[in-house]
Amino acid sequence: MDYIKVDKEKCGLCGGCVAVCPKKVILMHKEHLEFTDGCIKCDRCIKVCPVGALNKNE
Amino acid sequence: MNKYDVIVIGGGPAGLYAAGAITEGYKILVIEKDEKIGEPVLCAEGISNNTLKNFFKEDNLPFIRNRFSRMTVKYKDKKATIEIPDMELLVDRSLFDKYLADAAKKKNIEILLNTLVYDAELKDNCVLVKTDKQDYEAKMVIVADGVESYIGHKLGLETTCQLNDMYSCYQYHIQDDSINDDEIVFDFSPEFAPGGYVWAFPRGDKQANFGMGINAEMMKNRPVEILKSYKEKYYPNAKILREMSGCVSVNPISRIYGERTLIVGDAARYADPITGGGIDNALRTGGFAGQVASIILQEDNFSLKKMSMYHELVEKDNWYSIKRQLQLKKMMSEMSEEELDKFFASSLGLFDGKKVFSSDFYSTIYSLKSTIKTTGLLYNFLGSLMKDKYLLKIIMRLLWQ
Repeated sequence: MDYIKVDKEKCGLCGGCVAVCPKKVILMHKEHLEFTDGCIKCDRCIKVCPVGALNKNE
Repeated sequence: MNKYDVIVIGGGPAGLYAAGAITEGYKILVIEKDEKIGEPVLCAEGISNNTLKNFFKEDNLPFIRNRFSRMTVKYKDKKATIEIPDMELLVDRSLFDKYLADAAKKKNIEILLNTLVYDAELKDNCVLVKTDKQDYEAKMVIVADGVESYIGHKLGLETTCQLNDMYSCYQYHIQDDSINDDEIVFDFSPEFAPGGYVWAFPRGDKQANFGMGINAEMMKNRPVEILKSYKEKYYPNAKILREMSGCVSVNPISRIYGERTLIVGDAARYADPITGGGIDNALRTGGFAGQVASIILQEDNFSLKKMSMYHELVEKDNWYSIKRQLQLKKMMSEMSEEELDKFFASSLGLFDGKKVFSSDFYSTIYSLKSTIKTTGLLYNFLGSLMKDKYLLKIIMRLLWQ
């Protein structure tokens, strides 16, 4: 299970999460985000999101 | 064949302008992930008249949305209105990008749409560009993938943005009778947009790009929520025509070139540190990247030293003002609310009701030269809002020489 869960309804594909990701494990497709391996759980992507579309998968 | 002289990754203003700035006769490909150039628009669309004059020589430019002549700056219950004739305007970003794409196409540059570059790898004599459709080879790449700055990282450059340099944004396109088509509004009240500001940029026909950017490190509530309450308070009857999220990063990455690689525009984090405006620097860096690529191709010399010419040109052009504005941004983000109150009270007091010309700044600054730097900051700050680079240069030369 991915560490991060994306609310696709909320996500505006603005790229902020990719910009702050120190490992660049988020790949922004035309219509969705893909999380690849290597996440260090720094939570910066959750923090930066303008709409709160990213959350921990609990 | 899938071999090119230059592949530009990203078809926004920086990438398209860079491609168009390369001498004709080379095989150039621009790869864009979206289906259409110029869409979707995630932008407040403000640019300065200087940018327009510097980069577009033609008359009747099709992408101009609205011109305005007044600027109002708000802070808590205070506000100041300044005449800024012929200084700023709004563009239609969709048409703006299409205009740049058309110019590139006229130079026989290929534009490939609906294609995602997911990786790039440096090989012995080329860069391998991997897309979701097929792979391509280029003698060099110009990376213009915007705020994500994903591909630069793949090519070994440090492109990560710190939270303190990131502005988390949300914007409505609104229509409301209270909108003045001749006036641009900034609101710096920290209760709404800590470290950033709320904007209303007039689109004409009583419409505006109305949004906010909050410093990601200082953010407590998300812009999507705060903008909603701000709208209820100040534009209660406005009709929302569209809404969008966005992120703006400032503070240029430490090295904007690498082996067979030049990074331009937002991907290099060349946005204005105070306003967040990115178009001007997208064109500036794009233009230099195109120039340097032309020299490199002509000499057939792809050494790192040749690539570094690009970094030198960019820094010589604009680094002075960016560096000062970053200092100002840092100082402002470290100010207590009490200090901010004072800063804005003086700032707004100085400018309210005045008509501002470059010459006024010159004489005023000259007489203030011996006084504290805070005054200089005020001018720097307002000069930055007016996006007048020439003005900023004069101010900063005088204050920090």
